[in-house]
Amino acid sequence: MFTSLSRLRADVDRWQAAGWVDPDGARHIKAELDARHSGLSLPNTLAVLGVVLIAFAAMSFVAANWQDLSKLARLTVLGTGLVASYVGADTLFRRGHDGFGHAAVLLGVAIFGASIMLIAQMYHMEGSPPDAVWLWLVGALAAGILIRSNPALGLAAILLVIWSHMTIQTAPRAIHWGFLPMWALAAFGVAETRWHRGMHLLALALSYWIVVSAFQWSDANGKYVVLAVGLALALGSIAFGDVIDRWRRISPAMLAYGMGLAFVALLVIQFMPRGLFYGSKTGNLWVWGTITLALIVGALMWAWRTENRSALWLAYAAFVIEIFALYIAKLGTLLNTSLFFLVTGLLVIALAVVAYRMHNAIGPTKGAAP
Amino acid sequence: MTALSDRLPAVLRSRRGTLLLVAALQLMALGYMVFDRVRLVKTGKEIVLPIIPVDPRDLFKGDYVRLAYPISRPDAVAFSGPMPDRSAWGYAVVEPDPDPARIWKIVRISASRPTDLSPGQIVMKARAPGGWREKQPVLHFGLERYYVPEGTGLALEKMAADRKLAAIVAVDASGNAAIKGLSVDGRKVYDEPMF
Repeated sequence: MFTSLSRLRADVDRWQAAGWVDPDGARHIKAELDARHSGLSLPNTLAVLGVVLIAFAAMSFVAANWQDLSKLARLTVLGTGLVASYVGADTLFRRGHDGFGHAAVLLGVAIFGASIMLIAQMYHMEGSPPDAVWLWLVGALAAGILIRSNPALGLAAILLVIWSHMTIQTAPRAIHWGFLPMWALAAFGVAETRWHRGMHLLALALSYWIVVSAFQWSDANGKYVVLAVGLALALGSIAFGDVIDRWRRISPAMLAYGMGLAFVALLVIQFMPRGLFYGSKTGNLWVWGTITLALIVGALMWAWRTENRSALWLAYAAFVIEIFALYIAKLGTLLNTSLFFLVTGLLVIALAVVAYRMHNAIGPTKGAAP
Repeated sequence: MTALSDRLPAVLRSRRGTLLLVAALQLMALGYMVFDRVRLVKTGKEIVLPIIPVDPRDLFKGDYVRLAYPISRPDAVAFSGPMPDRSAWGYAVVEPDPDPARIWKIVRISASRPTDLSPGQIVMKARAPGGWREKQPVLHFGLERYYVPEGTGLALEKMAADRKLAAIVAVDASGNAAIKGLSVDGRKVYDEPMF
């Protein structure tokens, strides 16, 4: 846990110079090391938590609007803090404390954000509040991409969502297209550092944007857009998974997020057809309930075959939520609901039998599915 | 296939180089924010706008005072030409009333920057957060917040309610506006030092 990544990288350079590792191999080893190093370790986690606390101290310092210190003095405090963070990061990186170095970079980005707020406050800038967050986001992206710093990229992912949310608040009914290029920049940074958790953060941010944009575009038809995008993502991951994974291994996540989006859309179509706040009228449950269950069973089978655990659990959860929702909403009468569950139950059991036969035909290499 | 990081200039390949570059870029961004504001306040034309309370019950919120002006709610006559797009800037032509109070009022609003100004008129850039096509749009000029030291907002709130308060505002040639200070009955109470 305390092994220095820099020292390991230096070792790889040495092995490469000695001819034990070819240049391509050395690069792959380093990439693997970087990716593995993004994992949590206690000292690094504590350092990041400490930075978060100091960042809040800086923000409170700004909010206090303490007049005893002149504007210039206040600016100097934050400017010095900003430079000290990056100089400190340099020292820490050179001594091989990479985790602490990245925490110092995060501190620099946090002080940059606090400084923006301080300047806006000192000069009474009303401006457009999202613009301030946008500038902070640009600073976080610059640090994340140029320094290859995962904590800065993580902060950028959070700022992306805050920025988009604030922009929509100031201009409702307009789709926030500006989100996409900034998201692409963040995705580029995460792809370069191969940071797995960052990929999930960005996937969540994009999912948020897709849902919000679709409903901004049309309150009535946005759900079909979300469904289409979700299915396209899921099918795309199935059809082009090999090609995508040769670049970065993200097709399993693509499938899971696509499924999640499609399921959210299907829930809205079935149970909130008139919008989120318009009473309890339900859609055509016979048709959409059947489609939803068929998609869930299909996703479950695919996830099982490809050993995609997150998609598998998502499909299980979706199945449980779907049947409970159908049971509560009722398909006409209780008797009809009972008939629906009986028929779909028999169909799924028939599928189970077919799957069992196929499984045995291939040969019992694994235990039967529970 | 070479990784992208191998094709970058030397300064971007060393970690120290990138750290210094990021610090420099961020400082430049902050410096520009300050510079732009100081330029506006120093060189802009000075006008005085009386302040009207936005909402007497909740004027003071957090550590800033919300301010509104007579020009924040222009008369319907100002909206004769084509209106700006929803979230776009609009350009308000303002001039002082000929009466002794010389209160600035909006003559007209246009979607593009007007060039045919009469003597004494100036242009102020405005946004309409609720949309330009409202019956009576509320305009924002970037003068709607005045930050005060923690716990000192109540006195200002009272003065605004008594309609004694006015904002001293700088407007530059592009129509950007900034608060230079506040005055009570024509006497400066809050003077904003630049640094």
